[in-house]
Amino acid sequence: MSLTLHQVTRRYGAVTALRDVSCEIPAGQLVGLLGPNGAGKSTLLRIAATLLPPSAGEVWVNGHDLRQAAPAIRRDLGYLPEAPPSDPVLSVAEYLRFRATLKQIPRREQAARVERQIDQWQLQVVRQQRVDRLSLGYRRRVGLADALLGNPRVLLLDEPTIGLDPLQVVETRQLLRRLAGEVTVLVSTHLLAEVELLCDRALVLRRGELVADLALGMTAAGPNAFDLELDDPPERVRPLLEQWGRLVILPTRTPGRWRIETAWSAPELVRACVSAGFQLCALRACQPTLEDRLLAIEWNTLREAA
Amino acid sequence: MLAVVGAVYGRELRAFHRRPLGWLILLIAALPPLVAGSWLVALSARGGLATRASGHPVTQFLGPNVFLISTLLVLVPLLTMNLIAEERRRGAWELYATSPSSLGSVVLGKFLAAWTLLLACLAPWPLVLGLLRVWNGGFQPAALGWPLFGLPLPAGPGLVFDPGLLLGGLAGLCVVGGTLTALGTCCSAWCRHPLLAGLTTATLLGLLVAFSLLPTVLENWRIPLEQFAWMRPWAVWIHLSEFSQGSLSLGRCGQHLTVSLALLWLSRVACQHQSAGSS
Repeated sequence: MSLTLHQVTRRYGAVTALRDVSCEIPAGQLVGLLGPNGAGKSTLLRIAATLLPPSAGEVWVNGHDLRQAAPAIRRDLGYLPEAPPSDPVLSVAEYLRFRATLKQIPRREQAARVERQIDQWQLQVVRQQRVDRLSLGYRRRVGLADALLGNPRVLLLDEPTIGLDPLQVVETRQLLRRLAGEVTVLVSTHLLAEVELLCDRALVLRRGELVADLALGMTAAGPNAFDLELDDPPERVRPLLEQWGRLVILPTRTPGRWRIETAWSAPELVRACVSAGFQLCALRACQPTLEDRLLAIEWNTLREAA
Repeated sequence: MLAVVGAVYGRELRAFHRRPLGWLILLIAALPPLVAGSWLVALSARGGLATRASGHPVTQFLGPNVFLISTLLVLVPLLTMNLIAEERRRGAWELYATSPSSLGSVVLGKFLAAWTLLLACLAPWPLVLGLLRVWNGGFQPAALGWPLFGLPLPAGPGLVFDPGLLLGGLAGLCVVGGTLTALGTCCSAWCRHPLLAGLTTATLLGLLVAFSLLPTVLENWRIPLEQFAWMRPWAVWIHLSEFSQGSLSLGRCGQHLTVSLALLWLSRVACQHQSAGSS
């Protein structure tokens, strides 16, 4: 199931949480949603989960308008909210059974599906315990089990690995990778490494605006990135490098070392350095990390603002 | 839809019975009918009941007496305040709102559970009356060979009444109790905090009491009662009195059903509105 957002805006009174966000997520793609606190990630997820109507713009799930076909869309939707479940009455098994009824899963299938999720998330030891008495990690697992209970075709996860132990984090990532291809997954997280390991694509939000849509992993098709070591004063080097491509600011940089993203090939870059009279000590091709790319976006935004 | 209503209904009943507070409420709810029952026996023994304006003791017992009104004023807010407001406070409402089931089914399931619990709490009222009727010489344990530890069994309070009055009163508790529960459900849906929902419900019920008693007060000031006929359909507590006189008016039942459905519809609207408006 594909998910399309067209100029989606969401306002809470005078505050605009999302502003003109447009993107298209094809069926089966695993997309990370990145951004600082208050960037609008949870709002975007809640809109996609049919929980909030957009103040303006349109959301389409598999070609169906979200406003008109919300009940039908919810059947194919798995949603893990930021707050894990905390039912003060039901045990884990009862809670999942209750949720299965709410998801309108046929009665004869409910027991099997609940057992499968209990096995998958290793909840056997706590199956008779009340949900609100579990640790955060277990409650998160119950939430994940709930989100997957209805065999969703669109999965919306808000911080899915927070509170899980390292082994569970790895298993969750593996499971999400397995689901990708069949299920469209949108994951909101602060963990860059998680998005880099897991996702096909990252959407970066900042103050409610979509500031970047980055392809990741093997499918990434971006400019070439090079590490340069130049024995020249920075005030002379920087203006020229900025003309040749996008300068990436490294958080722990050594003097004279630069990273540049450019459309040029390595020989072209060497020729440009020689023509400019730079003393080129070394040049290495490198794959920019997500962090590099986000820093570059941040740097460019700040520069534009200045 | 029925499966969802049933699941929500079952969950709410379990929620009530798995908390010690639930059992405490049931225990406390059993006290007013016992007190009212002893009051009824005492009045009956003194022959005071026959002289009262509202007629038969059953009408007074299952009608708007101070014990029953106080019980409802306390029970309805207690049983309904957590229904929706608590779920929203915990953030659990998001999961209802994103499931394919309609919010109307969820609200209906919660309302039915609260109504059932209210009726369970009110069950001692007709039970006490039934006991008093059986006790009135009709039941002789000693005759069955039970020694009762040598205690003499009194002949009973002399309460002989038509069972129709009891059934009418019972129907009144069901119908009026349903409307009051729907009012509490609606308050729980519109308020963000359970405590606020409980206080709002209690305030509205208090206003209903005042509104219902107003014609009587005005009558005491020698203002003709006919001038307040328009108030009668809204004087909920007076309806209890009508029912306990054995008058089962379909119009009155329909009126309560309509108001209850309207309140439940408003609750559903509130749930949708609150889900969409929350940040």
